[in-house]
Amino acid sequence: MINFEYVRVRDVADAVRLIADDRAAKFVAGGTNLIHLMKMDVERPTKIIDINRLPLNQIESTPSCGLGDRLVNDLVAHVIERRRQRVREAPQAIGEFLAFHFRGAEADLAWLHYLMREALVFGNRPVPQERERQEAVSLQVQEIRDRQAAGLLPAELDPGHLRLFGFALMNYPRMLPQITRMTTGMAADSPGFVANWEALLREVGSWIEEAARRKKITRPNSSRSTRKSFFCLSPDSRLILFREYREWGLPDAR
Amino acid sequence: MSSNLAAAAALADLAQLTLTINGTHHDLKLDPRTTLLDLLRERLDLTGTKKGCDQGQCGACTILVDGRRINSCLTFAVMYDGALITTIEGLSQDGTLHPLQQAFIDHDAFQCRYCTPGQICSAVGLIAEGRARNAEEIRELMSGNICRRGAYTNIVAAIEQAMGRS
Repeated sequence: MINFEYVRVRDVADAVRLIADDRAAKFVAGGTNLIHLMKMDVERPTKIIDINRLPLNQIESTPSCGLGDRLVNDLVAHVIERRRQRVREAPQAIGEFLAFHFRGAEADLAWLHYLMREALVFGNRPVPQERERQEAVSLQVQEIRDRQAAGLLPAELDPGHLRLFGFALMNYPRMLPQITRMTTGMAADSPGFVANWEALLREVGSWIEEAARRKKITRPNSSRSTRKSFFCLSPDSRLILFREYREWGLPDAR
Repeated sequence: MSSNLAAAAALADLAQLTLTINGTHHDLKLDPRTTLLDLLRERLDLTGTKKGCDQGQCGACTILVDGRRINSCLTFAVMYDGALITTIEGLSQDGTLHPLQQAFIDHDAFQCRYCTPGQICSAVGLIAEGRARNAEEIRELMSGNICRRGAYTNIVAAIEQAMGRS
């Protein structure tokens, strides 16, 4: 077993900060799983964070999710509070706004990893603390509405869709670091990549603001079915699409 | 010189803790990797607690920490700073065997005896938990303690006696 630094934490904020700051750190509570794996040299943490003295050894019912546990509740509350703070502090201009949230998400890497696992486990089913988290998401959509009202984002586009577009721009490189590395030859967490990506986000932000000024983006009519909008395409586009479908071996679009 | 420095650095990494083991207070400085089991056996010569598998599967190393039974091989001693620990050596009082120790003798609840300290400490914890009401539940809740010679029938009978159900 390699040597490790042993730290005993007294409050949840310390625990969250320590685990977020050090990728080689592990929480220990009972230890029956972790210590066995450390003996086998499967786990090789260089820091052990003992959470036994945290007031988190209760399981209790909560109105929002039936069986909750205080650790998850506290973590979610922590993340939501940080979202609120970022929404308050975010710059108005779109490029700076995207760069600000991209930079801020670095502190939330552990949360991002949790979201990815949660997506695999829950799929499209409701997730823990969905109601509380929905409030934070609504705040983030409100951020978009405010900027639409200020003429910085195209007013015709759905604010929820725009927020999702921003989420993708801000988080994709960190969520898929292997794709980022293979595509750009740079590590997603390297200072060079972070600087490049922030610059790109500022540039994209200025394009979007420009588009908002020109009001050229038109909203597709969402009540129409895919088939109807397909036949709204010009004959040339339809021909190209038909050809594409045939090449993919997909069933005829009609 | 460099070895002195290394020794000083190693010393600085030692963890300090106090434990009360079988009523005796201990101030300790330990490598944080030391398991509770190794501390008991190698540092304090309390060899009644046995090392079987050393990976939490056999229960031979079961001890009581603040009254709860745990596998001492799968815990770092440093996690239990300030705790009250009872091992098999601490169960008898003033020369009188603990009722479970007596019950194990009465029912001949062992063959090779290697698992016995763990079985008895685990049974003390089991009775304190108050969850087992019959032989079937005793078997279930003692399932973390393996006897490779299969003395289970007599072990269950001994525990039933100690629970006042014989």
